[in-house]
Amino acid sequence: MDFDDLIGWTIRIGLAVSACMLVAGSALSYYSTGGLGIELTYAGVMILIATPVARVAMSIALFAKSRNWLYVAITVVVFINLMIAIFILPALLGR
Amino acid sequence: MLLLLGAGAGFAGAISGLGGGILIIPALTLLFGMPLEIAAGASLVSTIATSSGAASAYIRDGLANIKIGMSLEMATTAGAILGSLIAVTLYAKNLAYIVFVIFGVVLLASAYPQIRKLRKRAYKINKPDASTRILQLSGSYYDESLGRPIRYNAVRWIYGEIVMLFAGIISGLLGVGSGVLKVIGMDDAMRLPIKVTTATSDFMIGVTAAASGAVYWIFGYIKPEIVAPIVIGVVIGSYAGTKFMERSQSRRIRMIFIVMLAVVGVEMVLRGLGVA
Repeated sequence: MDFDDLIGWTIRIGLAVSACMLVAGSALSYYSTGGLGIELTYAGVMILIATPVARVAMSIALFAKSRNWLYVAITVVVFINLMIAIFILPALLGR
Repeated sequence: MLLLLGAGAGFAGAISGLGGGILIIPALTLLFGMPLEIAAGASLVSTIATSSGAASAYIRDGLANIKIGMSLEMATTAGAILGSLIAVTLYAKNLAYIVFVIFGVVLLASAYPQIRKLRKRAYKINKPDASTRILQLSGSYYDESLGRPIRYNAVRWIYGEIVMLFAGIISGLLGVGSGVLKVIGMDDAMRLPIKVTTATSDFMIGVTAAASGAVYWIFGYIKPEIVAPIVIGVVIGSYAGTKFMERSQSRRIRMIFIVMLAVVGVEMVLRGLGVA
């Protein structure tokens, strides 16, 4: 599979997994009490937010494989930005 | 209800390169009466969904250009972090109306260059410039409505990058994927064909929305019970949207885009000013 295909698949799988979780979570919380439905929904949302990160990580790997160092650097910058938003900022803001 | 909203937004978003946040936030705030920050949070997450739904189709069909997208994402993600920090500060201080007005103004201002563009004839390939060569920004795609392949070169990358930084800030500030500004940046500044622009923008907005969304998550502005149905709807809608987009004429896409911008822009300004 070539570059574009792999990225396309990464996106799709992430979306599918998260969507399934969201559907399951919503159905569960609608039809029964207890925390599981809500937990599942929460997890689905988190996975959804993570999918673009996976997208970028995948691109880094694929660009590295084709030895396109300029774009490895570029995608790493994007990745770092995402990491700042997701991990470093919460730590800095004390939440 | 929210499901339908999601589907509608997903469809519209996929065909115009927007994340649907442009429609979702006004709908949630104006129709459903939700607070702006919650609407923004929901919009960001659903933007990721629209983006993923549309992007996978567009990449497979060769419309979205990953190199263009990623290189511009450096600026958008940075801007997104900045913009969302500003937004959460404003919300904390009860200054949400400022965001409303900015929202509307941005939309209206965005409609203008698009109207000018309607007059242009079919896309003619540009001569590549230095930025095209250094950053490997040439490509081609097969246009279904025209029935032939189109080659293109993106130019003036630095200018595009600046627009993207601004787009990122707006994304964080308003809680949208900023597809609007991305499309304008790529269309106007970098002179790409509109279908490549909308497809690449759809690819990018997910990444930008993830950056902004992460900040909103930290501050608790993302409510799964609202987000979940919208996302599910969006997935369905955006899939349908991509199919439609690939077959439409470029001009029609542009017109739809303009109408959407105008309508929503006016509404948001009115809301911000306390009228709607």
